[in-house]
Amino acid sequence: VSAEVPASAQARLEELRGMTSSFFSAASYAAQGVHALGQVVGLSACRLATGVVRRTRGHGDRSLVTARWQEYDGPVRSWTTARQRATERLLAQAKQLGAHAVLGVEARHERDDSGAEPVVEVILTGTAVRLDEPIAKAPVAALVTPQELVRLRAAGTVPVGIAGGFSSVFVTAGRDTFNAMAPWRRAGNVELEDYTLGVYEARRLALQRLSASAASLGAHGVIGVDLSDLGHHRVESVMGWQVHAWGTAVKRTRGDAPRPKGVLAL
Amino acid sequence: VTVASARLSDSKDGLFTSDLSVNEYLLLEDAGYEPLGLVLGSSIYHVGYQRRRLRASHELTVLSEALYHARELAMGRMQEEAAELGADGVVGVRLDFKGFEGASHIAEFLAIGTAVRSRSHPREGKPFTSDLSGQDFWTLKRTGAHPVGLVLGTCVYSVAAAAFRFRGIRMFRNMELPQLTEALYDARELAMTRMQEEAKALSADGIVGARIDEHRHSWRGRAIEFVAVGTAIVRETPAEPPASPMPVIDLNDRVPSRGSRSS
Repeated sequence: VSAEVPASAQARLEELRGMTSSFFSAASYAAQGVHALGQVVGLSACRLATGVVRRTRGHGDRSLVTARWQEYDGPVRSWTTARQRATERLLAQAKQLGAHAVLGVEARHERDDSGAEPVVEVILTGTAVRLDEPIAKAPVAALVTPQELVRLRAAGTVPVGIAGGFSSVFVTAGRDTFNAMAPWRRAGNVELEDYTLGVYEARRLALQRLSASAASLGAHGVIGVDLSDLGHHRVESVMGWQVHAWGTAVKRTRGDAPRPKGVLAL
Repeated sequence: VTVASARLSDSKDGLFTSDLSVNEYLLLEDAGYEPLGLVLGSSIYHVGYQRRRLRASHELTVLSEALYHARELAMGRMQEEAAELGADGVVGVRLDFKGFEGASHIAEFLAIGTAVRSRSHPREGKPFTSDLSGQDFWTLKRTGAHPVGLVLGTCVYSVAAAAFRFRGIRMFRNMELPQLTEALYDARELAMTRMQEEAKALSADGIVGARIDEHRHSWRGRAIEFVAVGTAIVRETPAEPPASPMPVIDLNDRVPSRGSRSS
């Protein structure tokens, strides 16, 4: 599948010529040096692959080596591919409109289990804009609104793209956990260490991949990170976590830029 | 359980992650602080069994202790991560609580926030924790206060079943329910007292942004939990005179961008 703009979108974007449509509020519309061109969409639906089990590595920490958690690489591949394609398509539409950036991007990650095979969907919607001072040659996508973009740039920082990471970790409960959970034992207050380590590992991997994806965009940091748990699922004593992390990757362009001053508003 | 080091060694390549909104990020920079990374602490906890009385309302001490212990574990780990990054403190801490389907006695306690460090004079010692937004932090620093820690008090209470019993003429009357009122009062007061005690232990001058949340748990029956959370602060002499408030009419978006806290 390529990042080409589908025929339906092509027609819509053609019709937009000379006028604008945007998801922006009136206030964002008034942001200086940002001109809305049109709404753009990027989405990709992928089959949720099962893949093979990989033991995740413990980075030399002893307590991590002994824990028994695993990750299926299939879901990671599925989500990563869906996210990459959705982003490519969003930017392809923006390019078609001659835009410099896509702002106010809403990212949605959905999983559909209703069909014969589970399907994952990544849907990105945003507004393509022309900037008086483009950030880069190619269009840039960001979760920030036009006002926020103006503030960021005034402070010498620019968004360079949307970074994301996903992880899917499974833990098999050890004996301590199993005993604590058995209802007939009436165990007291106790931490379930296996599960705690597992959920840590899930978030660590998601954030590590987020950082890697931000680094590949040439960013110096990520702001507005949304760390959303798709939730856990439990099959007997096996607990699984799926974590999405995404945010706007930013890069400092001028270190000495005058920062906008805060006021204590009444 | 030590897991912090593995994740943080990943993030030592100079790239920071944070859940700050654009405004928060810029205001922290303005206050002379830089974000170091998203720090989090978590604990999945099995809550013990406690027998409850039907006739009298009483605190469910086992549950109260469990909620305290689990949150302390989570917050302690978050603080450790922040210390590992060499942070002065953590801002925007959110305490989250997630139940598990089909297992009402297991829950995850999560503390998550952004570790920050002062560019000019970083502090020694344990990093502070606070649930202050970037805006609140900036305002506090300007008015000459420094956060010392997120303080919380919790109390889980079981209300006697008798409090809900109406027989005879009582069924038709407008009336206060003394047992229920008293139980809710006691639980709230206990939660607030415990929060204040935590602040005293930190030798704080006061608590800002305190709030009382109410949770209804279904741990083997009905239980009401009151959690009082706030940020303890100490007064300092402000570096520059406090900003005087300015009357403005805000034309900004009512809805900030996704992932950002309200301004």
